[in-house]
Amino acid sequence: MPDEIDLLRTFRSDTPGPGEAAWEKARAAVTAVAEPVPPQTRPLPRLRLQRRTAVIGGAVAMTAAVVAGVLVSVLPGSSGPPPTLRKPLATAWEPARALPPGPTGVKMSSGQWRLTSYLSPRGWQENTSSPKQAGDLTCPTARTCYAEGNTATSPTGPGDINALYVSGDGGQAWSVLPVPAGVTFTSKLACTMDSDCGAGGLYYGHQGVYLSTTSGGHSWQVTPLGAGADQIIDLTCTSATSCRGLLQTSTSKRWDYMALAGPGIKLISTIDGGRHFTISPFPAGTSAQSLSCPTSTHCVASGVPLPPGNAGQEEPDTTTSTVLVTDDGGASWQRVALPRHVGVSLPEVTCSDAAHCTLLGYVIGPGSQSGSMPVSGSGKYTYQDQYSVVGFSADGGRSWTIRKLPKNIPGPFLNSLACPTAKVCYAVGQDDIPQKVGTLQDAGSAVIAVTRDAGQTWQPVRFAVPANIPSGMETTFDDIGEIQCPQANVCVATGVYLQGSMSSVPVYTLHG
Amino acid sequence: MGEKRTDGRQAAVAIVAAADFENAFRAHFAPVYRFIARRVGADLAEDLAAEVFATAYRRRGSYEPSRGSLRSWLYGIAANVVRGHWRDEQQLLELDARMGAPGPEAAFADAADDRVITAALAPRIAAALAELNPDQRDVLLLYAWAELSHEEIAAALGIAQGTARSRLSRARAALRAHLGEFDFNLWTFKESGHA
Repeated sequence: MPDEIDLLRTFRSDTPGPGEAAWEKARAAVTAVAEPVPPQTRPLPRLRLQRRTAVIGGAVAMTAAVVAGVLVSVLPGSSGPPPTLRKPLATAWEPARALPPGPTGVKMSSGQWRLTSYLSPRGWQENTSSPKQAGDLTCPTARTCYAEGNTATSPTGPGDINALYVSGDGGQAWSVLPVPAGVTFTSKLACTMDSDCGAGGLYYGHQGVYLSTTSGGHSWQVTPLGAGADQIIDLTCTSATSCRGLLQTSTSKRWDYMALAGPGIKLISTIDGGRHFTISPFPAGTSAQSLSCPTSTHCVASGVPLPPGNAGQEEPDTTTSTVLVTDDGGASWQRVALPRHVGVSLPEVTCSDAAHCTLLGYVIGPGSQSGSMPVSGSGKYTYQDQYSVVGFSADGGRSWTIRKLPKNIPGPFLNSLACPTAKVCYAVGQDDIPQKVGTLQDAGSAVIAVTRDAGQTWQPVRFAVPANIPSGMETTFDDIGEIQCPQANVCVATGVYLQGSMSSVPVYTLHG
Repeated sequence: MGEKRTDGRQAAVAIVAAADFENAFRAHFAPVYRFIARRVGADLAEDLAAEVFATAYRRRGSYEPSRGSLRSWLYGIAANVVRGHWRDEQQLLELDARMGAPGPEAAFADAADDRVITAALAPRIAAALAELNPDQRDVLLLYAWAELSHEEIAAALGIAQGTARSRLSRARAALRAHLGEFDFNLWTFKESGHA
């Protein structure tokens, strides 16, 4: 039977193609751009994050950044080869700069939750052409939170996750921390105390580095991983000196538009704060996407199984996923299969202790949210067949119970999950509750799903889109992108970072 | 909706040299122009399509075949350029929405003519599209008009595949809700009587 897409295709279907004038105008526009620019002699490095020459600030930042972006992309070699680190670099302590407070007059509450503040950085972008998301949130304590930002100004240009924001009052007010020149983040911050954190990064877009701070981001140690562009894409630390992460090697294939790392992902470990690293492989046939190590020896990784003989050319089946468990720090791994159709389009596995782990899953298949779990892979699926689920393990990741969300959270698309205890979890995203936003009809609503019994029951927390929000901010309210809960009743969550959005992002807090 | 569509994806080709760009221009200008013209009208489309390809030329060094097809990259630039003309697109949709459908005599005289059916449906479709938010409209029209797959939409808009999928799902649901009582078997709105 025809559907709404077929109907839509009839609309303005008689629109003619370009006439001669349109072709000529386009040729003239391209020629005008091309004339003053010498032919490009070499492509930019094929890296996830590409270099920029500087972080641009000030009142004319947007214009300047556009101009700079054009120059960088047209003349990639004009400023000479980028710097390379031969030895660790330590930066001096610098103060943070305060950010503007964001819009006023739209504060709200929902139960114990509050919409209390706004993160108002310059140039928020949803991840552009790279899978690294702006807005990665890390809250090591009830008062301290860090958020990574993207200063890119082009929605289709490279992502520049080279800004770091900090709140010292549980998400109320935010400041900008210094980031070493030329550094972009390639992983979320992993913190064991409010001031001790590590992260993966790239140095001038071409060299993988390990970043560490013991001063809450006011000063940094930048340690090269080697001469190449191997980069840490996920990091988990059990102490200030003991961390493990996922290393994307420079020869790895990426499925960028799927936001997944491809074959060639390895485990990288340090027990001396980044002075030395050991690198070990994962079992063949698996590409790990997310890692959590609650102890120095026990780790759980989630990922996608690779098609047999896959050399990175064939896309993975993201409707399935694999969990890997190690008890010896990665020397050996046990492979655990999740139910068919539970995929990892947004990979995230977290362990609150050595026994209790959770993961975000995504179901694509016949069988709706309110029905039984799908068992067959055939047939076409409707959007009623696509929804997020949460997996719970009480044996360190060796077996999983997949929990659906209840009917009063219909069609959930979850972006982030935080489980401060074995039983208490908060999942954030959007569900299929329609709402009116100004003159627009929005088909979804932001939702915080809360369970206090390891997923057996869930309660939604909702915030309607405020009536008088600043123009351009509407859709930052209809989805929640990140959540962190350092304690069972203390959470900070942030709205989504829209492509092209230059506006503030709402911050939701729970301080029960 | 979850089926994978790869029919429209062409082999990725790096466009470093001017000659490569010329080939890309010849292959993709007409469909990209038409995509823009359907959204903002032919008059504005000439300028915007030219802007898309001038932008693409400037940024050709940053095009990464591994991140998605050339087609999706160009449509991503086009969607961004059209986004900057949101008000123009909205005004055109609202204008279409206010236009009356052809009278019953037209439908009766040539009821089998697709053009008559299309004209009869256009105001309702325009009104429904006008109600969508920019994110939903981008995803929906890239899917329906540009015929990009989920993966290509994700690459075009620089969003995760799951985000593209969820946005498209919600856009389709919203469109259906705005269309109201449309009978997809009879291809008519129940209350309108045009068929």
